[in-house]
Amino acid sequence: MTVPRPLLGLLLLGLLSNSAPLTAAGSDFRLREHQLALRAPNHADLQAEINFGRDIAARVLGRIPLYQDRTVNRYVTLVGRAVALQGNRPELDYHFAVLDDEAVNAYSAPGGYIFITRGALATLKDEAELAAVLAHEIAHVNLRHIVQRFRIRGTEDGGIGALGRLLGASGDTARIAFAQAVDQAMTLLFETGFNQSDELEADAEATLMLAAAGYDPTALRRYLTRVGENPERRGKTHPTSRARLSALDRLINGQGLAGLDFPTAAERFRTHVR
Amino acid sequence: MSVERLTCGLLLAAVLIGNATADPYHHINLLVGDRAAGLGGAYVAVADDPAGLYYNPAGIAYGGRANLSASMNAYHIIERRYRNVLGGRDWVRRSSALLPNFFGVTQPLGPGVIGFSYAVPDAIAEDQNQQIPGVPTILAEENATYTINFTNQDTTYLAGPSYALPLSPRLAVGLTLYGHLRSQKIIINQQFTFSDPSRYHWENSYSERSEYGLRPLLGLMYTPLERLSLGLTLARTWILSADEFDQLSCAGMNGYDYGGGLCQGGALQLIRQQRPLQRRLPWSATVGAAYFPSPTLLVSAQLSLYQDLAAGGLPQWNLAGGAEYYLTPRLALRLGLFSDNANTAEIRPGRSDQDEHIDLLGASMSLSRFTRTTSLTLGANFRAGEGQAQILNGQNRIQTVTARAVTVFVASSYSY
Repeated sequence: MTVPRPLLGLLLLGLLSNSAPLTAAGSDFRLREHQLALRAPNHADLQAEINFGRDIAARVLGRIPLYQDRTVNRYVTLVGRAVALQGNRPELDYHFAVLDDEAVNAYSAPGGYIFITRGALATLKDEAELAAVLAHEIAHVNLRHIVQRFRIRGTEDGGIGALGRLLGASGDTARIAFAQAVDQAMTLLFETGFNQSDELEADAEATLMLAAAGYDPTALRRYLTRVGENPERRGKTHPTSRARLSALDRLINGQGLAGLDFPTAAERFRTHVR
Repeated sequence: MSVERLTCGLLLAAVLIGNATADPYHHINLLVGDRAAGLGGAYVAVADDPAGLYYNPAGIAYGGRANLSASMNAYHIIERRYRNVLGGRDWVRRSSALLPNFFGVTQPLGPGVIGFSYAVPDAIAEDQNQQIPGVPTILAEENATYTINFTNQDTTYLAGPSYALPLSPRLAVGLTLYGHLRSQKIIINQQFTFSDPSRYHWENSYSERSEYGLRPLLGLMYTPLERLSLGLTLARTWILSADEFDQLSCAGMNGYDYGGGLCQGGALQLIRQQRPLQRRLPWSATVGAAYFPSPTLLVSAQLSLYQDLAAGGLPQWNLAGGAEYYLTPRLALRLGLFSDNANTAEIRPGRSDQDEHIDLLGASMSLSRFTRTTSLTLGANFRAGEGQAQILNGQNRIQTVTARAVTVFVASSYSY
């Protein structure tokens, strides 16, 4: 049996060609979805995440106005940044803002855009609880929950992507896909909420960040318990389930965080928020 | 004397052959590796995780810089039903075994990637207790009650190092050097009893086999086009040393020979024998292609060819194909189809003691859940087929045999 000449030619061309070598990046086609989603983002991925989050943040502010109190906003920002320092995303520049809304809720957008409503602030008892709510939202960002859900990645250089752009076909398609993803992310933030698995993961990450920042690590559990007891004050995108409380209990006990005499900074909270 | 041909046939018209190796009649007995098993074993052109050490060591060159380990445990059930064997009744052999199926670890070293893996590509654990009344014998005036107690433990282990080296961005080569160990123990107790307790035949056989060898596996991985990967492997197991120990105890009526003529009727006899064995195993070559259209989808197919040691004719073959699809970034579903054709010659009328010939078709499925550094996989594969066998020693009768096997596996992997 002889090997067909075209096939032989293709094989030799591939072996010997230097015109289009497969670099390490060129073999990225082998990376599977979980490896892409869970790997450390590269620069293009990071920029895409920030751009995506910025669009969502603009939409959030278009829907709910900013609470016009510079003192409260500055205080929330300082607390939020203190917590964010304990996360694992030093490449992000976090932005915190209070929304002028009586509903009890908090939101996060990729890239480090964190919002808490005036109504949510009113339910908090101390600074540790504020830090806990912000830490939960920071954790959604750090764990890239929205980015993974909507598969937000940097554009590929070269290959089919470059060819598509050259032909003028991919630009509009990418913009439409981007806009659709932003719409879907808004639906997630304001209607459907994160799935339970993401919420549990964010709770755990937030509690560890709280402890690392020096706040009472049970603050999130305290807050969830209190909000969960009052359905009228419970945001529909942040359901408090027994599973979340049980998981927090396991984490707090398992990590030896129960009974620690960490500050709640209740007085400072009242000074700035009330 | 070999347990595979033990018989007390001079007395009886129908005696079972102790056909008791793990499954020497197929090239694929257990699919190895979590992701590979889900893809029906169509992994020679993927092979970019520790399972690549078993399927195509060149593939681990593409496993990235992360060090990986993976382990897999499998529960393996086999049933073979031989139709109309004794007195019109079926004889059923079942095996179930829970075994560590695979472990592998890879580590970048120098310009390439080094690895070590352990695999169990074949295992059986049979434990049978069956009584069949009304079995016809050459003593035509009365049928016998046939009782068989049968235990068979037979496992093949492979363990050894691998090294993969990228020769260019498009081409990598890899070698795995497996040590081969096969260990088998068989106990068969058979007896024929009649209404007159003075008339009986009984024999008990015990056999141990051990086999040591080497299995080099050479692999190539080539990327002719972006998103397309081709894999090629060549392998063979050389048996360097093998021993068999057999023991036969038998007793029965005067005037007849038993145990294939080894035992004479009358007093209890004990025969013990040790001898070297040398099994020859075929060359095998596998070529496959995998297409990666997106990070969420992968399709793979391969053709395996095996040297035909049974008839010396055209190579025997197996096909496999599979697909992997990510339902979410953390959840991947894999489906596969594969053949597991007999490596024996087709059974021909007019001959006796021919090896069974069953072509099997299989399907596989697995589901993997990922976290940042770990994955957990649950999967199963099923294979079934119908063929022919000559389970009765020294006879020309051909039996229809159906075979089914199910493997359920749980696997975990960790990257660090």
